[in-house]
Amino acid sequence: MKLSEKVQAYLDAINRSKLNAFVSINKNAENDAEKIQRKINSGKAGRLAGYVFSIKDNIAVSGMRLTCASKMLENYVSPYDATVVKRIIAEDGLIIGKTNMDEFACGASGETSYFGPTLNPHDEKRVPGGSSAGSAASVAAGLCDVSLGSDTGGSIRCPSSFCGVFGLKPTYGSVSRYGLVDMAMSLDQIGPITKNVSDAALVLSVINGSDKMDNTVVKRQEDYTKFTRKNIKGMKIGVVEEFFDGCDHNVEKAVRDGIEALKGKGAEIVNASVPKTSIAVPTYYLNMFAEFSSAMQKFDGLKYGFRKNGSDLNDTVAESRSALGEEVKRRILLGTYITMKEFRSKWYSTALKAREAIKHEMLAALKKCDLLTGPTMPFTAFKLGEKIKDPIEMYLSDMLTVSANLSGLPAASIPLNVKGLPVGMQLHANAGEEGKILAAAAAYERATK
Amino acid sequence: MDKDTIKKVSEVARLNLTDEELTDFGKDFDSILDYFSKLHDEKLKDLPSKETASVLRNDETSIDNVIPEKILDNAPEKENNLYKVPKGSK
Amino acid sequence: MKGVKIGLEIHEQLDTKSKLFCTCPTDYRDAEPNKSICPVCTGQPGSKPFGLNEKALNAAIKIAIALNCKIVADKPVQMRRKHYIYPDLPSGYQRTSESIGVDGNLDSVQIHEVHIEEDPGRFFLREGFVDLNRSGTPLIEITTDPVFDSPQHAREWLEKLASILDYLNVTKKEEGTMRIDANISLNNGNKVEIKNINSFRNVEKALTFEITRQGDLLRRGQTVERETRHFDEKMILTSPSRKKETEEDYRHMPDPDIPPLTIKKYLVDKIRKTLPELPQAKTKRFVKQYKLSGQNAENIVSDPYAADVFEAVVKTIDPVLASNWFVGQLKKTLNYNNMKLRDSKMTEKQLSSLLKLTEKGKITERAAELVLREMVLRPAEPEKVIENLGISDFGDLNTIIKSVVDKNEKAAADYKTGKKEAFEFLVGQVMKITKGSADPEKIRKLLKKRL
Repeated sequence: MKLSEKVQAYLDAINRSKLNAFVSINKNAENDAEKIQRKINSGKAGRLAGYVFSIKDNIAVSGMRLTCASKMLENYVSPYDATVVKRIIAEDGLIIGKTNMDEFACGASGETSYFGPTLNPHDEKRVPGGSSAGSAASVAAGLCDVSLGSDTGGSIRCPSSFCGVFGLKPTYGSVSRYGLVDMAMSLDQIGPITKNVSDAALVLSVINGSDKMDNTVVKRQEDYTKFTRKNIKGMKIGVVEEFFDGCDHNVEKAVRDGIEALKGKGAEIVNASVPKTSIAVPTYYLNMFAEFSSAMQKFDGLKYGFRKNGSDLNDTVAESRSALGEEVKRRILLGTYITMKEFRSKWYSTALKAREAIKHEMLAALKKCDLLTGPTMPFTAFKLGEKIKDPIEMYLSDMLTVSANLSGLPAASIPLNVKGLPVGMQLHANAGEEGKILAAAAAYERATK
Repeated sequence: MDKDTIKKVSEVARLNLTDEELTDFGKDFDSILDYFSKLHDEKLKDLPSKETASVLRNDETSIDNVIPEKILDNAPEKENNLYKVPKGSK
Repeated sequence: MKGVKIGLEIHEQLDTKSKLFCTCPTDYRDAEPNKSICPVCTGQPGSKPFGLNEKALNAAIKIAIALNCKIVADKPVQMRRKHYIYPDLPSGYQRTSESIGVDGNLDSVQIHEVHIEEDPGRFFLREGFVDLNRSGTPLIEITTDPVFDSPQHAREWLEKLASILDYLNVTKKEEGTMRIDANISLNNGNKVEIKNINSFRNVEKALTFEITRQGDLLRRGQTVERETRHFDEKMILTSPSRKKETEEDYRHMPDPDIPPLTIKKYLVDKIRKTLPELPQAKTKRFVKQYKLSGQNAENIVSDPYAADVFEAVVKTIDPVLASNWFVGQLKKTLNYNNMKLRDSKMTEKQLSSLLKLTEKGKITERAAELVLREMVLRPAEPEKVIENLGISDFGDLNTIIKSVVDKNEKAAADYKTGKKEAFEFLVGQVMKITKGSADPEKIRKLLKKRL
């Protein structure tokens, strides 16, 4: 099939879709398709020619809106491209549109978007997971080939698990964040959401590697495609018992079956332990709140974004900022509170130490094995509205995903072979060892085909 | 968390909150921070000194004539290439 | 002054081509508003700081060394975010480094610390306009301990500091880039901070006003409030800023986008070797080597360019004579034209030639002054200037005097009989012919001799 036909088919499907997965559509998609097709025909196309991407709407694509699914940025048009977008376009990937998400990535369900919730393609009464809700839903529903999401505390892996797709959060500092709207700068990372492991390996190969525009990315670009064919015989996979605490029975069963499948491919299964998983949620949220409140300072209604005039300059700023959604405001307020003079030593300083302690435990566990595994989410996709009124309940959904971010480690959610609602199995590796995750995930894919 | 504290925090954060929001957030924050206070039961070590990676840049310029225009196009209000914002006081 | 404690915080732009964390040019003065901007320095959503400008860092280290600071090389230096929302600050926080140098001193004034930070953009508050061209330009901030005991002391010290920065040649040369915050307390009372003063003279004026204001309050038994004020240069008074106290919680936080930086000891040593001879040392040397008065030496040395020209000139001219010209007529002429020596295109050679003519008595001092005034503005060889100005006969005063005496026999005779007015008349005649270029003292001396 020609690329333009494929793009047309996707555009039609997006039009028909009721999932609310997209916030904006690339108006030049058909033109772009023709340009890329010409390159394909002349044999000069890049590595991503033929791939149709959706991009989470907190990643800048020049000339397209960058809304973060917020009223604040409803009409903001990005003046520049994110580094990952530049690299995708340079390899002839085609961007079909920008995907819906929790407002400023604040949510684990996809429900906090100013543009309304995204629905789960497997059951439209259920949430797709968040915050990269539209990214995972668009891949799962066949509205594009692959998507880029962002992950601060599980925002790639949670919706991947709920929607039954593969999602990878790379090592912190391996993919440039230039052009990714900040949530928590020391935790954010862009990564692929795909139908299969080899697509993720290819996309990661294109987007990773040093960038002068992001100080935290200094490593040379690496090719990950070779890992998907690698044998996992003898690979040591540690099953973290704490990851199963309080987890739904069907999820536990599915994950344990998944682990058996890896064993069948020659992996050596061992026990592992990360006791501090019990404090992962407070540690993550306190760190994230602090950084998020700093990151959100720039939305003042003065240079861009929503403005509502008030009685004077200060009031105009405060009125404009009040356009932000409830969860965003909650996090800004808490982040401000815990970093204020009187309260910071009690909260922020403690959270920084706790983060270090969790990282220490994760690294210690990974010294004894190649990968750590357990469920991605303790449950399957819940119903729309089920948790949105209870912040703590919602925050606790992130229990199993945040440790990877706090430790800067790569982690992925692998869709398990189950009937009914999708279940994801999570794999963690040491920093820079995405290859091992890809190898194990690909082995699982082969085992269950 | 009492109303006065939330009010003060909202001033630092530059958010205008309604009375209802002040009350609701107050309740939320109490339960959230109460749950999070389990961190205080943990024995935590002092932070190790941070890893450093001096990323320095040569003092070189580059000029893009299009991006400044696009940046300014997003201004809620502008005049003669200047952002227009409410007047200030010293 | 008794009980007065003043501390200073000096901000000056560093002389770099590009901004601190992006590649936008810093020569925004000639640019249209909002042209020297990019996603980084305007805080666009998703933008991140690029690498730290190495030249700015090295400049800061150089300044810290020159101010006898201990360079922080034993622990990482972190960039921090200082949070406040204001139209000139596009990200809602200012990036500012931890100390690069600490515990310095200059002229027995303790320097608390030196660090770098980003300059905000410009907010024209009366009109409500914002121009972000300046946003992100590298600044050095120098903070002193509260050790000045008078506004005058503060001003004099600032002039010394400015001279050192001039010598180091790593800060911007344009006028008006330096901004000063001054804090002042009386009798260990509350500290008042006066923000954003733009000249040394205004620092002195603002502080003088504050001493009067605070003194009045204290005399009336009232307390001085701990607050931030700003200086109104037209009204010559300070008034309180309308910032709420709660907004001054800056919630400092390490910037996660910028890994901490280690200043290597070898870099410090390398930069130390590039330090020029600084004003204090140079003054001492001038006194010793050229036998100048301390005052003349300090005066010449305060301007590094003038000091260099001086050293070139004294290769052929008597140093004391030259120094008198430098601090006298040359300075006067430059001040009159609101210039510094480096602004004049006059060459060292031209200046030397002129001084040579006076040294040899070929022209009078008055004539040389006229020539100098012209040369500063329209540089040329002095002989050429003399010719152009039409003061060609200045050289032989005796001839002129002789002809004046010959033509005015009566006046000459009157003088001899004791009439003082007659002598003044003759002097006047000589002056008229020389068009005022001749030295009156010299005329008197020669005239008396002839009569």
